[in-house]
Amino acid sequence: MDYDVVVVGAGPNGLTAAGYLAKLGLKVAVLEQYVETGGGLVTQEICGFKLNHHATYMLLGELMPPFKELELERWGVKFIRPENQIAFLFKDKKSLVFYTDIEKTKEQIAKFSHSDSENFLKMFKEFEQMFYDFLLPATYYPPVEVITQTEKLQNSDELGKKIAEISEMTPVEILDHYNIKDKRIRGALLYIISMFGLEPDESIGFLVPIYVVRVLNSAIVKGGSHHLASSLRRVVESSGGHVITSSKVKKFLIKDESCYGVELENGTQIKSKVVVSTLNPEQNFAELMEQYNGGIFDDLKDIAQRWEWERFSLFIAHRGISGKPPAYFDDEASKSLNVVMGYESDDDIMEHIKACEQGKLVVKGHGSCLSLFDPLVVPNHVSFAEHHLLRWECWAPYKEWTFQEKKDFAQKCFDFWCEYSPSLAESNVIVEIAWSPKDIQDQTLTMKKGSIKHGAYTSLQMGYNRPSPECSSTRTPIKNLYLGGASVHPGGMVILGPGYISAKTIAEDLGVEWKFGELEMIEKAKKRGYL
Amino acid sequence: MQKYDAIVVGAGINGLACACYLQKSGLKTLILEKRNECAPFALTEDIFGAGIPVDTHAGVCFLPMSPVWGDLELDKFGFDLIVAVPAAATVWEDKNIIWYLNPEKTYESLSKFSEKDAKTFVEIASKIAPDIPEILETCVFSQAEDSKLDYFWNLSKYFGFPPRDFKSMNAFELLDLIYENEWVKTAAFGAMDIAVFGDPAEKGEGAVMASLAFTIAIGVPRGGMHTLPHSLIRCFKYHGGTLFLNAPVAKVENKEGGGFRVVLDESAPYPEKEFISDIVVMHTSPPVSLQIIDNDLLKREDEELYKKMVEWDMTGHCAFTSYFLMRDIKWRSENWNPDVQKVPFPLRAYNSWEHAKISKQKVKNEEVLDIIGDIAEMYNLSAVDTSRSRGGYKVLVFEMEYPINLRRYGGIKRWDDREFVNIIHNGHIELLSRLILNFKENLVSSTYFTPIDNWRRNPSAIYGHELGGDVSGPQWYTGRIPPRSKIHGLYFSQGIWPASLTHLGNGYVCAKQIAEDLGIRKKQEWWRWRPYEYFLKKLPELEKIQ
Repeated sequence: MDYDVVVVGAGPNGLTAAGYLAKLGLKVAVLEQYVETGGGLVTQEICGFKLNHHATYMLLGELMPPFKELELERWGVKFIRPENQIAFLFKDKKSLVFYTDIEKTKEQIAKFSHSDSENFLKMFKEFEQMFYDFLLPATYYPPVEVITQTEKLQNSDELGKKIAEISEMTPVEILDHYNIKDKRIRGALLYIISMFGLEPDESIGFLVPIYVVRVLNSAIVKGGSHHLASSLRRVVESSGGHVITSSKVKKFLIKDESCYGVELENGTQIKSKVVVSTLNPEQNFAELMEQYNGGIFDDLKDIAQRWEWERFSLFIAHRGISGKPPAYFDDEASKSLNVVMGYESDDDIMEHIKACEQGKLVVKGHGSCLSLFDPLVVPNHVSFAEHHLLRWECWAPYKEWTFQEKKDFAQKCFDFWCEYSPSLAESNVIVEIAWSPKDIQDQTLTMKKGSIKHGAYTSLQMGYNRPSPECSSTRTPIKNLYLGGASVHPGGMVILGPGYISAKTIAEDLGVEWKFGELEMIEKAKKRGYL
Repeated sequence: MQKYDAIVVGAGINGLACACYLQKSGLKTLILEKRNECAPFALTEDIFGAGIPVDTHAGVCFLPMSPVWGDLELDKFGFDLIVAVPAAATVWEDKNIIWYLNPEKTYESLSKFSEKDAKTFVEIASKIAPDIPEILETCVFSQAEDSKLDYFWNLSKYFGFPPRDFKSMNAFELLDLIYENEWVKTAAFGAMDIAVFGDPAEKGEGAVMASLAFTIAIGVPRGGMHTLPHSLIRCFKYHGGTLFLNAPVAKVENKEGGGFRVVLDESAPYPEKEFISDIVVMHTSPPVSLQIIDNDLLKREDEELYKKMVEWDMTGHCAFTSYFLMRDIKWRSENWNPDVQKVPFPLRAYNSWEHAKISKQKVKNEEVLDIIGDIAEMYNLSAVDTSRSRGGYKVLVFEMEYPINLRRYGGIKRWDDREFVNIIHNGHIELLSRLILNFKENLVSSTYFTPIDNWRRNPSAIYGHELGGDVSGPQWYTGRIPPRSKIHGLYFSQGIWPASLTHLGNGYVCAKQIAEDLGIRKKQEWWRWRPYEYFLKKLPELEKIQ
């Protein structure tokens, strides 16, 4: 069968691209190697407990253009955004809670330092402006070459200059820049910035406002993260697109530097006008192009070869229990989406990351009781028991984990959690399962070395450089081959940017009218000279 | 409002099979499934996080017995069955009986215990063999009718008894009359217990189970049991069917002018919340169906059925399953017959014939802690499927049916008391240490699912019942829910005869009833396989594990 568009990978971005293009009337197929669709949005159900493989906290939620344009709410997506976002618990029984309400957060910070609370508020408000006026629109716009981008920002207005100023700072330097001094506040903010893999000492300053503003506005998807993927799939299928699971792509079909389809592992060839791949650079440029050599192909293989994976990844452990939810010494913490335990300062944060680089395990991290906010993630049809779903996340190294090591570490993490919430120890554990960074790779092959974002967020691998200057617009030097996954600008974390940009680019190249309209925020950013 | 010819409520494997037959017969069919995934009892998950696919409920499948395999061409849709020559075994510490695909080899296995019994077994098996398609067609893959009971009692001819004796015989009595050796009797009893065509200790039912046990054929789906529902889904979609996941049905009610309105729960993520259809198939257990179907309608049009559904017994046949992540699995009884190492489906059946009788009585008395591990099924699937092991680890599964009520131990909630449940799980470990060499040394990790955990997984399986409700006494054969109600167009594919197993008999029987009622059955040329015959045809090309 011949298609207009073949999308490789039914993750959030692949389904987004397919959804847009199918709605434009193109004949679309999404090929997924696994039985289940969703990629990073996969939710595994064990005994009625719904365990998200990775993506759980949605940073952008309703702000993502596809949410409105693809009518995701109509197809079943509901974001739940708790008011109490992140609580930090300290040894001396003090706590620090970050709320969606920034004034309330300011009061919390003032318990530790008055000047920090003022500076935090100032920083947060500036970050919000940077986020809404520039960073969010830039997320859904092809990247601009680095020097040009800096010039544009510097020649725009006051805010533009501020963004340019922090752009090449490290997160640590930014905290200095805003005069945040208290050790515990610095630790908490560094954790918020780095919890999903930003490196505190890497010059990726422009990402910091996004993370600070949006991590403190995290939402979960009602019913489990897979509901977001399922709704995208419904968009694709209701518009006549095909989602074909258990179909692993073996190679791109390329002739005269032009892609005309893909070949599956079972030998089936699927022809298509364009192909969009959401895989990682090693898969795209080395594995799926293995047989093509010379010139342009060698250049692309270079991208694969120099691609850097993250210095640390996540260890994720779940427990489905019958019993009471966690209760901490501070009620406000008990009501929080995430509860961070074990860090007393920014040094503790740096030490943990350093330990990861050395392959060592540290029992510190954050726990969430997701069922407090979403009753659908537990089997509530069993009438006589109160069920809760506990999720533990912490930074951990990618290495060869033995099963025993993983099991013991998960036990240590839960024991540690129980120190802060003793009542948890009395619950009946019905389901327990833990995933090391190695398991993350094994479950989802695109996430090599447990890299949930398909490659480290470093200045050399972001924006115009993600995955390389010649490919970051989603177009590649191979005609009719596009990129649309987390390894292309703007990156991973379920923001649907790569899917959106690739769909728009493909529509343009195929001469199909983009009937969704231009994004107002982009027009505004252009007017102000940012883009 | 979208109009369908048929709507199937519930995407269990039998609901899926039924929907496939209807869609393939040209009926525009919609499946509505409450969960995000289909077939909660035919799932495969990496439950240890060790990268090994583990079947969380059904571990071997009975597709060889089934006409569905051939009719729906499941091979084309990704279903790949491994058939092992040493298919099943009954294992004790120092001896075993291996049930081979081929009765002559089983003869050798039995003759180690008794030459006479081995001969008897082969005689009965060879008498039954040519009639298997007919027996299965009459007794399993067709709706229960009083008129067919004579055929059941006539199964006595394979054993040489008058039918009236058979009617009043349970499996203990029958086996006492057939075999002389107590190990052979015990093993035969254990083997028939897996067939769930009734209760072996009940009169009549027990004798029928003993006969139907000779028609059982099993296989291991390569890669995991979930390949079975996934092949059904692909088949259904290939023929143009529509499947909605996350679509809980809130109500099924009559529509003016005939047919039904099927209304989704408000939370369903579909713009359209109502559908109309001429036919509705409920693939939910009777108590769950009762919450969905308009009760006034049921009371008015089919009072007998309504009463049956209200009184329906969801206890009995509820599995407690222990899972073991192992470095190695080496049976102690390997010295007796080394083929035991290659068996995917080992069984455990009591310490003695006397013990079987006592234990069965204790089951009736619900003395759960006195019967731990007495009779069980095991899955040792890495023995035949390389995809079930990884990094030097393999998984052994031990599953026993326990009475669900824990009245004497404090009620059903005790299934959630980890300390209490650990007694059972540890009992399984102790037992396996007697059956398997260095069991504890090779054990890396273990976990279990209780009957209530199964209920957690499958909202229709109240108390974790696997078969849509008890299959015994007043709920045996015609005592089950009829596939067709007296309400025109309302059908059932769960709680009906036969017990829902991975032979897909329930889906088949329901679809057949509908197609016959519509007069379209005979027009379907592809609908032609008799039970067991597709397997026989396929056998030479299957990659057999010798």
